[in-house]
Amino acid sequence: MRPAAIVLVGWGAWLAALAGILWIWTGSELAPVLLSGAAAGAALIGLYVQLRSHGEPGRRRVTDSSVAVLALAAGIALGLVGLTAGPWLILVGAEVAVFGIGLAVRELRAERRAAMR
Amino acid sequence: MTPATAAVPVNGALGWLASTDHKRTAARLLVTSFAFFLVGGAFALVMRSELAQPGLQIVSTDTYNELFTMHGSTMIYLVITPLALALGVYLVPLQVGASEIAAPRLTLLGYWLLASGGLTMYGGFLTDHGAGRAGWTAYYPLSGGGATPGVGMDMWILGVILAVAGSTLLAATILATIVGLRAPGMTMLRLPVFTWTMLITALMVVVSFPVLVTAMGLLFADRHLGGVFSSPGGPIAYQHLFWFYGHPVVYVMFFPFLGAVAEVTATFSRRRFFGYRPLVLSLLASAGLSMSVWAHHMFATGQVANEYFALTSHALIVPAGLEYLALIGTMVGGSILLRTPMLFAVGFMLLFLIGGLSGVMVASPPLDYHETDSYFVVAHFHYTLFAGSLFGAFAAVYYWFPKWTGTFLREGLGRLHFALLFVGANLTFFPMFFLGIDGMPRRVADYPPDAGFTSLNGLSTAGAFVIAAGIAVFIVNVLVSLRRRSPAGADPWEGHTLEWWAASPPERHNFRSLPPITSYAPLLDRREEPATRPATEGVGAR
Repeated sequence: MRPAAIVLVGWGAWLAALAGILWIWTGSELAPVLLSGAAAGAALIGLYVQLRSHGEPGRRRVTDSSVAVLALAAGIALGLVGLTAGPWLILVGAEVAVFGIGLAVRELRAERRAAMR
Repeated sequence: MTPATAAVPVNGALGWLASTDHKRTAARLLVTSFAFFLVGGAFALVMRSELAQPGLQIVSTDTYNELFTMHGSTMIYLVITPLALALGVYLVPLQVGASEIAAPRLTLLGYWLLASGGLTMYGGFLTDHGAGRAGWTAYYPLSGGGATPGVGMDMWILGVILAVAGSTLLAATILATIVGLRAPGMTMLRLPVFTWTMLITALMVVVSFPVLVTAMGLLFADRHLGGVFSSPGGPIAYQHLFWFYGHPVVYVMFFPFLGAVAEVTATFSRRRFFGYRPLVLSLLASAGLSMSVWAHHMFATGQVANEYFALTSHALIVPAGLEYLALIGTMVGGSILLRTPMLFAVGFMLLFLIGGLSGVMVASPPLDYHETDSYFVVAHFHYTLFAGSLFGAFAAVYYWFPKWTGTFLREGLGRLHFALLFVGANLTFFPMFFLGIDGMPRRVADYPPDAGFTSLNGLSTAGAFVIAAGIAVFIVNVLVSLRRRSPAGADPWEGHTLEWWAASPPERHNFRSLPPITSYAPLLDRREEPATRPATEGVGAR
């Protein structure tokens, strides 16, 4: 097993043990469910680390800047604030977010092209 | 070294704002969180001024409610947590020998969500009912639509959702970097102590922060649609969801600074870190325990398993003691150099100890019944978060500033900053223990003139202004040091970890080469055996 996965799964098991004691100790369900969920989350991340493909670390192409992310963040924020300001702002936020996603697709395609050269 | 690809090149200010370089993202995060710190600190000064004497002199009770809510929210959601994550975003890729952070776009998105969350939260001040005013915990039913109507409270909730979601993304990319982008030779048991603290911090964030996002979503729904938390047991369910985030976040605001202090202590004691493996184990143990203590904030409700949560809370003493032992053991026998970073590190150890020991008291249900919702609790968490975490943060800033900027901060101004902050913090927060024991409740704008609280409140207010003077000295120090630069070089402190191998400030992709990594302190290894360890070109290209 990969050392990083051992750490994550081991930590998840530690949380699971604490959750197990809480299940025995308490009459309510919400508290142990929360802790058990965290344990499962940590273990799942560990499992993902264990199972993901590990070829030799290749060269990564990384972008220097991403306006797409700015647009996406603005879209999400505007859309969320629209919940108090009204549907018009939700629509504006959605448009900006879609624009951001489009830009991100463009950036990723450009990166892929550059990586193939 | 991996070349960068600017798929859609952007220059100028927009290019800087949209930069995916982890160092620039971290710099933006540091500057943003410090700006919020100044605003949150100004709120604290207004509150302390109001409390200097009995009676209402400066603000109304409604405004006071907004101030303490926004002060707490700012410091937790927008200052200390982001500051801790900013250190990770900057330093973790450098410490593990990576040329970039994993998923730089997600890191950038995390920053912008967090920043827009802050602006949204503050936007509440522009609304009719004012900003959020139900405390940073927003307990239900106080935070419900009936008790706290208005758009400002809604904007506070949405701001928290954005800020916490942003923090989660930042932590996820730090975790992915540690797990997936370590340089050859950088095994898990060769991770620097700071990186270990960031690993457990990121783990805690990704499993606990989404719960708060959910809780805030449900609270928003309750305010507009009703029926979520209004059923019997609803308010307790809200408290469980909130504190399942709310206690782990205390450790999220502690571990990274503990890691920074550990690095500072080893470097300025001129010796290898004492008890590395037991420390790593104790960090993992305490991170797990700190996920299972949240309901000690709910002892007084009588609705939780007090015995279990008191037991886990007290059990935390064991790994915490080991962590302190490791720090002290590193200093014992070392050749200690008391430069400003080390002063702040020692300040962190002393003051966090007071916060920790008072925490032992409130972890005991019978004592907690007396202290809950009193100024004792305010003193306790300010000793952990201000006197502890912030001293750790300043240790980190003074230590890594030469790496970030290529120049030292001024030593004399640093010492003055430390002295003012140390005196100010104790003068402000120590009297609060006695106020709490004597029965002064928290979150009040006024108190009776004959309650016997006036002198201690006066001291506390004076201390707050000493802290403000200390922060002013820090700002002057940064400005003077950046204007009249004192060049630092790549490794001015004779550091132990890989970030000191990179140039100051580091290049776009961090390293041109890496030294062999045979322990968690590769640069110290290299200094101890310089003739036998040639540098290996290009091993950092991942």
